[in-house]
Amino acid sequence: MACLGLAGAILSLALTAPALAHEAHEGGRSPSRASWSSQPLLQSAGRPGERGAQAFRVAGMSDAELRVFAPESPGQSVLADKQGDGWQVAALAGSQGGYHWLLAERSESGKVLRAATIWSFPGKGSSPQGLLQTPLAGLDLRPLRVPEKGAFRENSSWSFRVTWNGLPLPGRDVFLETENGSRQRFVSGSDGVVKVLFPADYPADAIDPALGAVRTRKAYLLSVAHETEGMQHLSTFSQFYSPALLRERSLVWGAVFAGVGMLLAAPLIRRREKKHA
Amino acid sequence: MLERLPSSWNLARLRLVVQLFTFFLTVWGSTVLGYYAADKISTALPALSCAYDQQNGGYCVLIPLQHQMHHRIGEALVKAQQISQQVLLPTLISLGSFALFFFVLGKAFCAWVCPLGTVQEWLNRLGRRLGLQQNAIAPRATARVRPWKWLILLSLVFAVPLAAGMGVAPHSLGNPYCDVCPSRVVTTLLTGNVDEFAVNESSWLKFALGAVANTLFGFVVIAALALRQPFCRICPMLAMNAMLRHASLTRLVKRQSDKCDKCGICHKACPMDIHEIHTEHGRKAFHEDCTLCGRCAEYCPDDGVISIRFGPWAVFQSSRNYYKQRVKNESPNGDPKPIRIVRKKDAADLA
Ligand code: SF4
Ligand code: SF4
Repeated sequence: MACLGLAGAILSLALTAPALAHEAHEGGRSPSRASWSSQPLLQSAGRPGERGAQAFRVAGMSDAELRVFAPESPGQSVLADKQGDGWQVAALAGSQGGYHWLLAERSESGKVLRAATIWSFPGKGSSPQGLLQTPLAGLDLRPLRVPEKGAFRENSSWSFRVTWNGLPLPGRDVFLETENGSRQRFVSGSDGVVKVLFPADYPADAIDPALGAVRTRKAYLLSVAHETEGMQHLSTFSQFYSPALLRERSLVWGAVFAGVGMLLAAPLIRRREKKHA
Repeated sequence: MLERLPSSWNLARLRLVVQLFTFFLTVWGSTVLGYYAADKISTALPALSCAYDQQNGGYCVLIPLQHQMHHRIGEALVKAQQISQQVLLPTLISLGSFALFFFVLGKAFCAWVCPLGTVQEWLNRLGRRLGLQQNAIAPRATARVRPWKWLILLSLVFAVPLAAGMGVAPHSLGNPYCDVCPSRVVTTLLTGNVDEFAVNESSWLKFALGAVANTLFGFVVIAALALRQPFCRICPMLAMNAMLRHASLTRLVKRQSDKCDKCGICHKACPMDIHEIHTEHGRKAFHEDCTLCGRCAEYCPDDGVISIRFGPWAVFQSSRNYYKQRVKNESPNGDPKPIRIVRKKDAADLA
């Protein structure tokens, strides 16, 4: 059954993604694609620069605009300035930093393509709760929560909500693709929420020894499509996920050393002497 | 049955209620406060409310301090930049918010808020219920134990992260105190997360730090059954809290009394084995190891000798009548009365 589901998911991806990508060609230059996904993918590029400014590029979509939303004003966006083949984005003026929502968008004949990500700029910033609870009009896909410390990790479940004009979109296929090659399909519930279990798909040698499991990361992408009034909508959300921490940690050693500590404390443990009359 | 019920209000019960509340906040608080740092009570709490616990309601001050030593001050020093406002500001903000909290509640963060302090206290109660012989640290031995908290604070919270930031120590020593802190293991286990209990095998250094952390964790869990507050004695937060204790609004005050010479019950009551609470008065009686639990004031049988004060007000002070009530429930050294779990055989012997 699982094999059939997976085969269905791959087939749907194979069928929808190229069609949508093909449409994206028509309006302008041929868009470059990520090597592991044909879907519109908004991703950071390179290391942060001055005051945490970060370069972003979008793959699988050409001539897009990038809108940036700060946590302090989740309903308002600022258009990012194009720089080369991408954008250089910093925390918006007036923001304390922290998580910002970034959305690359392109509308063309019969099609609306959106690629979103969330990015934390230096500074404590406001809670991203407002950003995560403020879907945009149109087809929107965003997490209910993002990790503040730590990361999305293998074997952990995170929820995402699909909305159309701010209202939950139930029964919708949401596809997960990972840079490590996994392809999975999830279906949104009556509240538009999909619970995504990140696959344990890191190859054994994929953990960068310099970064460890804590900071090694690869990208993932979620996509959802919706058709209404002759318009096709495709929205994606991408971010990074990391290996499970237990890949480089040992519970056995944990128990052994806890046991050593307990043994060291054992001489302190004696039964109270009884008081005899 | 009825005699086991609380006969009246007392400070210990009030503290228990506060501890239950703060324990929830510091271990699972994000469920009500919100998940993000901006929603938390503070990111610089003077208690071991572990930032590795993804569900807590506020972070301990030690983690931002280590990070700032490592990433800001250490790295700025090595780039030969001036220690600018931009570099020092976050450290000052962490220390400032710590001081703000501390200025109001002071050392009470230890005995009333800290989740690890609470866990140790509850384990000790369990040990007593199980009829275990209790140990105390003798006055002469305290001199050997007390410097450790300062050493740990200076080395693991300040010096080593600074050295790591300057490239003198390995980068993986960026937050060495957190790496060995038993509160990290205890509080994450309480949220059902075993990642922090597992020992990191990716390098010998991480393995060694994990080994120390888990050994300390195992030691504290067992030792707490038979010794009050074993980890608190060497806790760097105790040292941090000690630095400003006389400036805090909440503090312990003991006035001189001639009756003290022949008494010493306050020392027996003290979970930190602070003999100075018996032998000294004035500033010296409010010792660097005090956690402001208030037990000395509860068990001092003399009116008004020991008090917990908030600014000019005595929030609680010793009194003979209170003492008489208090010893009915619990002896000064912490033995509960009258409930005690004993083996069947012992029970038969007692009968
Ligand atoms: S001394 Fe004890 S109560 Fe105070 S912070 Fe340390 S562990 Fe917590
Ligand atoms: S001196 Fe008093 S208030 Fe301080 S730890 Fe000891 S018993 Fe508690």
